[in-house]
Amino acid sequence: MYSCEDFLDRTPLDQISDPDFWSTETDLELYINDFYDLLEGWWVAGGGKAPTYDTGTDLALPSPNAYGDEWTPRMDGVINVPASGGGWNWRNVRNINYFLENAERVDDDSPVTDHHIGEGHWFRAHFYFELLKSFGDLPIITKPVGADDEDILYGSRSSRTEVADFILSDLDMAISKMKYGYELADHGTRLSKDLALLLKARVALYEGTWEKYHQGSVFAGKTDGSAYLQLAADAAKQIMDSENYYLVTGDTSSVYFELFNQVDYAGNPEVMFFKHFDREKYGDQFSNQLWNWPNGYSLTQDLSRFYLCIDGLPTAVSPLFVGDSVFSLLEVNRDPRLAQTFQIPGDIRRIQGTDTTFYDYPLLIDAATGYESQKFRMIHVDPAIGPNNQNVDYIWARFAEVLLIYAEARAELGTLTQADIDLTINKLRDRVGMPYLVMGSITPDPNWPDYGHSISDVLQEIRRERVTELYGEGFRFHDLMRWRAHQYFVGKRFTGTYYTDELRAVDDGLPFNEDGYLDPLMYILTGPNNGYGFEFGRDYLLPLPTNELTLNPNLGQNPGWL
Amino acid sequence: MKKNELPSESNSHYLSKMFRIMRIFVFLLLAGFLQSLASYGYAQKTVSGTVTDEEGLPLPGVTIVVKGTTQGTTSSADGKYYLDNVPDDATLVFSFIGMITQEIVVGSQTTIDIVMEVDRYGIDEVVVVGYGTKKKVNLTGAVSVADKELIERRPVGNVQQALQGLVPNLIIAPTVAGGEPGADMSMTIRGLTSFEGRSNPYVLVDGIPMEINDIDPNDIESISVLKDAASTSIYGARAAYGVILITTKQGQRGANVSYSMNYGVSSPTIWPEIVSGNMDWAYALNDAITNAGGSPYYPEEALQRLAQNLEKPGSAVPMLPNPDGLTWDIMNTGTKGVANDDLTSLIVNRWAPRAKYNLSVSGGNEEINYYVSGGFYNEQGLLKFGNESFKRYNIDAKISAKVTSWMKLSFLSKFRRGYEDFPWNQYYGRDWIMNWIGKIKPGTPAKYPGTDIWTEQTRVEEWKNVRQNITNNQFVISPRLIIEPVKGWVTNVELNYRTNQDDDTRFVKQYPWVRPNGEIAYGPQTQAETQYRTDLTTNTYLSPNIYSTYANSFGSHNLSVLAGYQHEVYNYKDLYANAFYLLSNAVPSLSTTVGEKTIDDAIGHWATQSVFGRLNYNFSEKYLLEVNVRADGSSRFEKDDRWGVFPSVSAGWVISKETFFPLQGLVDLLKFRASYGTLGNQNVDNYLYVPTLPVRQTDYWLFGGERAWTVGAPNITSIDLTWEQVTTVDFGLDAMLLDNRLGLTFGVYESRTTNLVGPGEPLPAVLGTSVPKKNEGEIKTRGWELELSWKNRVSPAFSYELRAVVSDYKSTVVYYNNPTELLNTYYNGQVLGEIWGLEWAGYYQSQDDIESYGIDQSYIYSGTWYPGDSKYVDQNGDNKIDRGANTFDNHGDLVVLGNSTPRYVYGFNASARWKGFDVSVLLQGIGKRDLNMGSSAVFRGPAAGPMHNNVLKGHLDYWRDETSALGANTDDPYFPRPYAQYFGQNAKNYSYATDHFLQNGAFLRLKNFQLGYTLPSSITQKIFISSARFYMSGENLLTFTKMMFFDPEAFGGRWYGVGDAYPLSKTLSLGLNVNF
Repeated sequence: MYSCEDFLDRTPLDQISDPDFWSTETDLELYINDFYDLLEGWWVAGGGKAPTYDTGTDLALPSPNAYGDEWTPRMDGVINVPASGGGWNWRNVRNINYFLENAERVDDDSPVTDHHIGEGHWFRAHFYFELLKSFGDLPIITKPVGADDEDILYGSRSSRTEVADFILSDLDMAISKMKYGYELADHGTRLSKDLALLLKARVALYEGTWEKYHQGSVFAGKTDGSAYLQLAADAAKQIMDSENYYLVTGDTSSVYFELFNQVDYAGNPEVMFFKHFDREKYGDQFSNQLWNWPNGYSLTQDLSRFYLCIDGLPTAVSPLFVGDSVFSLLEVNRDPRLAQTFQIPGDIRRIQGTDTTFYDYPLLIDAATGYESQKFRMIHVDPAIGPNNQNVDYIWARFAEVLLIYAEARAELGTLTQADIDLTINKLRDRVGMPYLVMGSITPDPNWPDYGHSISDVLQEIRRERVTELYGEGFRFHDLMRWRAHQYFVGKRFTGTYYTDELRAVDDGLPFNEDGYLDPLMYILTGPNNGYGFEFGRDYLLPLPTNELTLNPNLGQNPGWL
Repeated sequence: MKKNELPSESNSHYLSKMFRIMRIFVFLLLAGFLQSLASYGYAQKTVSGTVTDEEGLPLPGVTIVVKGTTQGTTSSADGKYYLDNVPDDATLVFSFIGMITQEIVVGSQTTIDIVMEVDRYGIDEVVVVGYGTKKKVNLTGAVSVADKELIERRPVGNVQQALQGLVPNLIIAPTVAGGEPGADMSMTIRGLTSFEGRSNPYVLVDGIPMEINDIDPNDIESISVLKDAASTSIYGARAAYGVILITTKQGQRGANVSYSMNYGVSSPTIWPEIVSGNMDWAYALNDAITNAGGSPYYPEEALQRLAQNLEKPGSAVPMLPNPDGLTWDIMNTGTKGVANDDLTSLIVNRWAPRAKYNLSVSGGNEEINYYVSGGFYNEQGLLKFGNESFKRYNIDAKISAKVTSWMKLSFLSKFRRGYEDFPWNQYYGRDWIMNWIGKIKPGTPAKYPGTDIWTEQTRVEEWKNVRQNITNNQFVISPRLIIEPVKGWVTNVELNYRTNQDDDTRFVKQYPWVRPNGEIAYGPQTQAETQYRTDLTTNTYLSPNIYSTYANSFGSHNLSVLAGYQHEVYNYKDLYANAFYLLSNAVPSLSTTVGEKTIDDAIGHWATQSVFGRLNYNFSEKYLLEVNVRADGSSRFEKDDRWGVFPSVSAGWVISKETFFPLQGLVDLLKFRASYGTLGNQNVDNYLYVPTLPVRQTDYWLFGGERAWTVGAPNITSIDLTWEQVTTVDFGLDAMLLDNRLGLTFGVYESRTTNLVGPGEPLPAVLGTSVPKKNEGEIKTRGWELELSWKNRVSPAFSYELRAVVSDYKSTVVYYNNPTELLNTYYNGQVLGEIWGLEWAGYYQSQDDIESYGIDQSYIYSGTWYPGDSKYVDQNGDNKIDRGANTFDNHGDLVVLGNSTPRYVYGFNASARWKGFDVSVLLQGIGKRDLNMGSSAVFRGPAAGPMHNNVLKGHLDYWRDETSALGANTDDPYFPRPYAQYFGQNAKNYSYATDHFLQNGAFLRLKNFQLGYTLPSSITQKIFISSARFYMSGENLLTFTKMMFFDPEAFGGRWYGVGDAYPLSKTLSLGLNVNF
């Protein structure tokens, strides 16, 4: 006999319910794994297009057809206040808080449990860092919010300095609990103590320079940034001292290029964290077009001019500079990384079996500047599976960044020594056969960007190195923001190659500037001189959505937004 | 014995007929006995004749009695009768169930031929209601009956199509699937709605819950649509949004074999017409891309080639190779191609066939009856190479037998098999195919040069090799027992069991394309990417029903009571399997794949338990009263919120029966009725009150080279969730006038849906998840409906009938927990369907115009505005356009522009018969409706990304200055300056709804026109056919609409909002109905 109530009690048959979960370290791993999918890879997750992370800054431009998908609207100051959404998304924070709250239910103090809890803190730091970069001040939330947690739902925002401290405290917790990468079975594809140190250095450098350069502005933090810069330098140094990672070296004319198109970084000493692609494992979602650029973006002439000549002197000064108005001159006598980053006619486009195809001219509809990217290009195409399905791993973090953080933080603090430079910048230069950077004998470059603040020569060179080493890896926009560099780009349009007769023969009628350089955004940008219209009193942070301000007036809008 | 209503079970025709036949026997017996005592001594003779129905078909089984005697006979199979010894002064009474009884004075006649007329509004008409039947005149609730003949007549594919427009306030409209073969439509009754959008009526076929299109329309005996709470509350928690009761045919006395067939051809009703055959489309696309800052898709050189191809197709190269020689310089949907191949006519069928057959055998006697029917429906799609098809097979079989004098046993079974064969796409499914077709540019070459292989852009090769096959099997059995131990006390025991087994299999084989160098390449590129995927879904539904009725009369007091019990258990188990790398294209299966294989499942269940009761009382069929109550428990809610009780009461007054009623003679029937009642709705997701962690495998991250398993976070659980309730007040009147020629039914109602399940109060985004669902919110729906009919038999040879239905409703939000009254969710006082947007103020004509406009429009788009972009009206005079705080009190410049709810939905039917000929016309339409089309890429045309557009006729009227190859068009163009960006700068013109782009959704459509001819029985009987009718029919023949581009019924779409639905069909068909 059944009672009425038994008959109507029907519990889920195909889902795990919360009370049954959170008992073993495996449960922790199952839950934390879910967050890895949120870490960026090639443009769209699961393969897809070329990296476009610096597109829409000064280094690379979208094609007018693809306008709007990248940084251009922010650099141009044409963001609108959204009614909802607009990046003000707290799902990830909720989900990781749910993990951190429940992880305590696992009654087990093993190193594995600790490691997973450390991953939880790492992810919360990561999610908060992304929100910090967009919105500045944030509510600090450390539990999964319930519908009746009114003090959280309708609370106000903590200052960005408190948020940064919160992020760093999460990372300290992660550092104390996690294992080193080499201790993990899935080394390189799972987060480790090394990655916690790296993220700590990255966040601290970001906040340190932000608070230093935005002092006195509406975007100021509560400090002058120096404490953060010290933390950045210390964390970077700790990674360097651990000697778990070092730069890959090889033939100076190809080592840099080859670093970025490998099918598996397992065991690579420079790559600290990567996303592994395997078309068979991803199944039908996978389609990688890294062989077939452009994807609606291309590199600027301005980027090319960051690269020194092979004698270590800037182009404006070096006797070796032969000009760069035609493709054939661009790479002559220059930092070898230029040739390994820019694609020009004559470069190998594809090697498919015994069949080699050469690149002959740019597709100007998509590569509107005329410069397609060589960095990340997969030229070896397996004839058996065709060009669309190359497995190229995505480097999420590599050791070169650690070196650049250390050098920059020490330079900002004013404590940089030649020994520091030899440990960092000169290691990067060594790899490509460039002359050393020597403090005290730096040749001033008339073309040094005016970042709007007076900075030392060596800091200019460190920032140059950051461009030439890390171009395309997604740092540029945020670098310009933390350096408060609007002076450098507002009212400017960055251009492409010289619009030669050969290029006109390929595609006539493209916009070009008075000097004859391709100028894809000529009719698009809305600022002074038809350049970037970024408003320095407003556009350093994104607006909060209207609905959120209506629901919770305590939030307050970011400066400059109505 | 007092004549009174005998309530009986659903499917009660057999039973009620048996009772009536018994009544007649008893009557004849008594009357004959009395009469036989004294009736000699008059002149007597033999009278003979033929009884036919209105269509001239012989009518067997008609009872012919000499009035006041037991003397009588019945007509034979050919409708003939002979009656001996009839006195001259006798009156013959011709009667037949469901037909109007006629009395004829014999006089000098010896041959009396009679045409029996169907008693459509007669005193004896019985209507199927919940758990029983009721005489139509005794109804107190709002129940509409769809005319069976109108359904039988329509040679359409499914029941919904046949029902569309027949019942007032039963709104049936195509979904986003449009007219795809086999597509279902959406149904709502009286506009009742919920926040969750689950407002489907509850459909019962012979008392078993089913999908309405799971049966063959030919098997339908009757359809009742229960609209108010009083009529539906006997179904409690399942019936909040109305009930449709379908009864299928049963065996009648005698034997009958019936065959029907219909063969037709279809073509699209309204197909957006693409500009082709000239240069204009290329100029328009060029303008759009140059406006967006790009270089022209069609530079001078390409335009020259296009011109050559227009002059002489094939004379110029239609697309160029890329420099690598391996791929073509053509964009995804054919942009940059300059062929002139008239693609639309190559790809879309002028006419596609469809066919429909049904064969039924039925019969019976007093002890037993049977009905077995088989139907087949086959519809082909409109794509020439898509080979889309939908097939449906139905078997409906039932048998019923008298076991003892007090017990009857019956057994119902139904089988349905559906089969769909469609092209598919590996990433976007089949829904996307019509979207793609709408986007292929006219310059796309059809085939690769010098080959018979279709270009990738046409996707024809893909359609052939990437397919979806769906097989649906449904099996229903229902054994039933009817016990009547005491006269008037009837108990029904029914066990309803339904099981569905569906198989959805998709496969991806390689298909060829040709490289410029002549090499054949494939998509997918490698055999390793070929795919096989199959989803097997199964479910079972089991529901015992026991209900018992007692009916009796005490003088003028007629009483019946009903009590019943029901429970339901629903289980489902689905299995999903996917595999890559077909070893052989010939035999796609899991076993023949060698790549990665994955499987997954879904298992679940729900249950309900219910008791219900009903009391019916009437006094002399003049004062009517009905009370219903039902209590339901559902597993979908937590223990404490599980049970709901839903009562209703209704009453009627047949004023025309009052002695003081002044219009007797003119008015045959006038009844007022009123009802009040409450219903529940348990249609929420399972397990909302249990926190669950979804399991999945990482999509994008491999750990040490392997995909890992993960569990995700639970949402906040929706505790304390319970029934939604719909409370309805209904007033109506039914009238018959002028000898039952004119019929009128009018109803007004107000429904309040309370405890609506929806997202709770809007919460700040820091919550980090969707707001848990709550029972809060109230919607009020007010409406009315009118049904008018006129039928007249001018002569035995000529009769005609007119029928019109019209209905309307409006729903408003009475309460929703949205204290700040944000406009992006429901708010108090909101009229459902309302469209908020900006009022349009014209286009900027010049740079001066932009600078002098003086209203800051940067909130809409903070970049540069150009001549040809929209100006908006600054409603609040603050010199800028924005949405304020986006609340009802502070909405900036937003205003309500219109409403998308269809108003004044109407249908009109006219039919006439003359001798063997019959003709009928069905018109349908909507009186008022606004549709916001600006969000559709199809509607925007060139003002959408290079891939998502096409230039349709009408799109050429866009703003352009004299630099355009098409010449200037600045004087009041309809469309703004287009930008070939997916959205981008088009935000200036399309990011808000505007009155300018609002489309008038009103329409009138000639839904069906039919002309038939019935062969004279004198001919058919010679070949042993009792009747034969031939007809020709046309569906959707004419449409009157002001809408641009789209069909006003099927403007929806599955990609990019609207405008890419599968088109509805215009169908011409020939058919035949034969009875043996």
